[in-house]
Amino acid sequence: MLAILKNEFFHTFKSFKSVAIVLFFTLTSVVTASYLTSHPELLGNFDSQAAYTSSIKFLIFFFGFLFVFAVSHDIINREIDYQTIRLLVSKTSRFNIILGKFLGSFLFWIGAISISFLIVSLYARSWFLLDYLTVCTVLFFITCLNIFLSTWISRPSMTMFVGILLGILCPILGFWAAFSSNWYLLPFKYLLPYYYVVESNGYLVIPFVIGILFLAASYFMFNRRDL
Amino acid sequence: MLAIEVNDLHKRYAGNDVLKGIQLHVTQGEIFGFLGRNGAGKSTFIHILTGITQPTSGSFSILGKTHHQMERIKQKIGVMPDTSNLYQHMKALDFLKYMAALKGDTRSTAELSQLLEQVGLPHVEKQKIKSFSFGMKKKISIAQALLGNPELIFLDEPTSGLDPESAILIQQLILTLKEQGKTIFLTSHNLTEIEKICDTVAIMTDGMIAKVGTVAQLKHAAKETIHVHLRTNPSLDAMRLQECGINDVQFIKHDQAVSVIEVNEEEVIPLLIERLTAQRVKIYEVKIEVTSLEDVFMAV
Ligand SMILES: Nc1ncnc2c1ncn2[C@@H]1O[C@H](COP(=O)(O)OP(=O)(O)OP(=O)(O)O)[C@@H](O)[C@H]1O
Ligand SMILES: [Mg+2]
Repeated sequence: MLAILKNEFFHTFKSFKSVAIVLFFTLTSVVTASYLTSHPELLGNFDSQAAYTSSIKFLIFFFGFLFVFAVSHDIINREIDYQTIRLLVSKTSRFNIILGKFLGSFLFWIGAISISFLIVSLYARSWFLLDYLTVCTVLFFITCLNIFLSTWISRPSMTMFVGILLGILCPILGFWAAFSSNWYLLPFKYLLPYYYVVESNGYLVIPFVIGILFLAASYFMFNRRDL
Repeated sequence: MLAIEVNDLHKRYAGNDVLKGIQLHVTQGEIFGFLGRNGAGKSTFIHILTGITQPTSGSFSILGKTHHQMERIKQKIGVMPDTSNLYQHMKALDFLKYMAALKGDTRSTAELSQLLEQVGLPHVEKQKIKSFSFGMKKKISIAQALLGNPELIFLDEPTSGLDPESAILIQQLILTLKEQGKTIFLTSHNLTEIEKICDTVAIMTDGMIAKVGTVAQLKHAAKETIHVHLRTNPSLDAMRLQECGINDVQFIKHDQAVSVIEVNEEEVIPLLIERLTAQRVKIYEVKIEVTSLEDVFMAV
């Protein structure tokens, strides 16, 4: 399992897309934080600390789906498509493959986001624990959903397409649903993490649980598949 | 304990019955050859035994572990799958390190390089697999099957696409593995190779095992026939053969100055030559042809 985790982590790290995204994250947080530090008047009446992490939160909430799908949409199905999965599945359990791949990609994003939080914390001289946990929960949800899609849909070109589509739709529908009580938005309200993020605190457990359900579903699908 | 024991194994793909009740035993320590035409289901069979594919019904056990204990089985086997699709972007050595880590094989970098050399891939450690030729990919695919010190090794067409020298190297490697007490289950379309290295052979057709036995047994069961090819002057025909007065010889054909005569046992050959010489027939060339594995294969 550790071998797969490590391999997936470095595989993600080596791709140009992911490096570009991580650099973008880091730069944005540095720029926001340093700008706010040198213009304290901007923080004025607001809950001043919240402003520091706003850029990271904004990026993850609005572009998190798109980023993760763009980098890792084929995390499972590229190996099935190319049949390299046979090298793995004849050596280790299917559970280890799903878990290793999930942890590899999740830890990659956690790593990326942690760097940004660390930088911002150094500027602001305070820890943003709740914001950090919120962003981690959303990333957890997204990487789980990504594993689910990549296991369910067997063609990488298809997950690419579906990934981009969902990457754009999820934030829009999610935020809309979070503040609406329209019946047709209810599924998005309760399935996507935005409503729980808005409610915050204890509600954050729910996207975490949904993520685990996605992982479990991926495992059961993968477990029965001929590879 | 048997290396492989398979009971009434079935596999159906989208309405297509590929395996229709396979029944098979493989003894520990032997080289077992698995033959069959393209699409017969050989690879499918290996996929099922190695946890890549699920059987539709039936059961099997490997080295004393049943198919419900697949994870335990995986620790004891090495698999070279039928595709040579590997991780293209990886360097040869990194690939083996990854595969070794999956197997919990802790051998050193030097030992992995040595393994590469054993399969005929010296000095490629830093080369990307993407740049490998077909045969080189085959070889590294064999190498990864040997990681983790497996007791039973599945090799799906290990030598197809290899140059003759490499093929011999791999055959010798397989024989060495056998000497180390390992069991090898291999498929091949090279019947000469099968005949050379396999202890037991099974021939698959129509989703079932049509024949199984040692090479000698299979040939024997195929009603061994011996064809004697003779270039003589004067040339032979059925009449002249009858004049020799030997039972159990049959004139088959006369083709391009060579007559073919079928005899049903070896002992007849010297007698035939003696009688022909007595009849002042000059014999310039004699060639004996015994049933080959190919004949057995073609007959199923
Ligand atoms: N994933 C799959 N889905 C549907 N049919 C399949 C699948 N895999 C194999 N088959 C079918 O099963 C049959 C057996 O295929 P298999 O690869 O086992 O043959 P084989 O004996 O290994 O042939 P070869 O000598 O060419 O390697 C073929 O008819 C093939 O089309
Ligand atoms: Mg095959």
